Amino acid sequence: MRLLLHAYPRRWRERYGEELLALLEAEPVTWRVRANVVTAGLGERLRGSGRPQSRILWAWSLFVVGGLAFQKTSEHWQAVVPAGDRFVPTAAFDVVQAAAVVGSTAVLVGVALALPAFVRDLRSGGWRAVRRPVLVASCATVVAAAALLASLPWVFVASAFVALFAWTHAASVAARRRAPLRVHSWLAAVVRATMAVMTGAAAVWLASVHEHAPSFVGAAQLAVIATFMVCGTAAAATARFADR
Amino acid sequence: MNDPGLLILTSLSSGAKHGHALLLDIEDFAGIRLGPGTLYGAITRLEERGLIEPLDADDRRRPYRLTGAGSHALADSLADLRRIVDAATTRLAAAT
Repeated sequence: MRLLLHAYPRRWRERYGEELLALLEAEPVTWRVRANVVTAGLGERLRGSGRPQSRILWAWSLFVVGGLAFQKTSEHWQAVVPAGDRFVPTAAFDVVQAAAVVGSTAVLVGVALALPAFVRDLRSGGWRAVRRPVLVASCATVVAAAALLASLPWVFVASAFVALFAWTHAASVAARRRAPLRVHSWLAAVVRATMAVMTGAAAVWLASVHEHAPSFVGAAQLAVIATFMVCGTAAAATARFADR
Repeated sequence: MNDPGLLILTSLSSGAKHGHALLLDIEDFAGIRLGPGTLYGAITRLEERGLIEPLDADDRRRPYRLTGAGSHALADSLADLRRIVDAATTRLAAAT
């Protein structure tokens, strides 16, 4: 019966686990009771048990690097794949793009829903906690914009990545100061799912393009795409199951 | 009428009870058998809202009791239900 409790987040188990176990031991444990406990436990996981979702933001940022590398690598891929063999890579590419739109929308909706609480927090003295990360992120953004205007591609790329991670850090600091809304748990689940789908579809696309043009995707590009996509997806999965 | 939170508050209004005693009492006065997961989900929420509070555990079983806020919340819920019951009774009588 103790196994059933693993449907619940660790923090919940530590608080209520023994009580629930004592109750289960006093009752006939039918399949209906088991289903009720497992369903309730998964519900507690979706509620997030008050745990900040900041790790999902980091996972998404890591994944964005891999996604940008994929986007850049895949430019003009139709030129190297014969028209008759484009069905699989086209479908895989479309899946990556659709999942990217869904995942990005979920992240933006999550940020938008957190904004009112964030603004209230700033007004009630929270600015001191987030001031430094926000200033670093703002500076990196200004440098990236300046590099773009000055046509310095490598400086732009480097400062844009610094800005991405600096804003992620700022958002994480802000997220840790507030308990997430219930809807954030659902949005985090959507983001996790889209990362897994994109990783799978990107792998299919890479394999099918490699079949027709082995030299189209360089080893360095492949390493960046695979590393950041897999690390991002793994980080999101870790965030999901870290509470077990 | 079968809101687990309301049923738990009603049960605790007659005194502190642990999980198993809550299940038996609710089944006795409402004829509803809550699942253990449903019961503890509602207990979690009620405790988070400060409507009930845990007492010292008796072995592994921990009793809960109604707080002042819980008593007020129960009274408000009953007043809401009473209004609905009165309205339904009046309308049903007028319709028949």
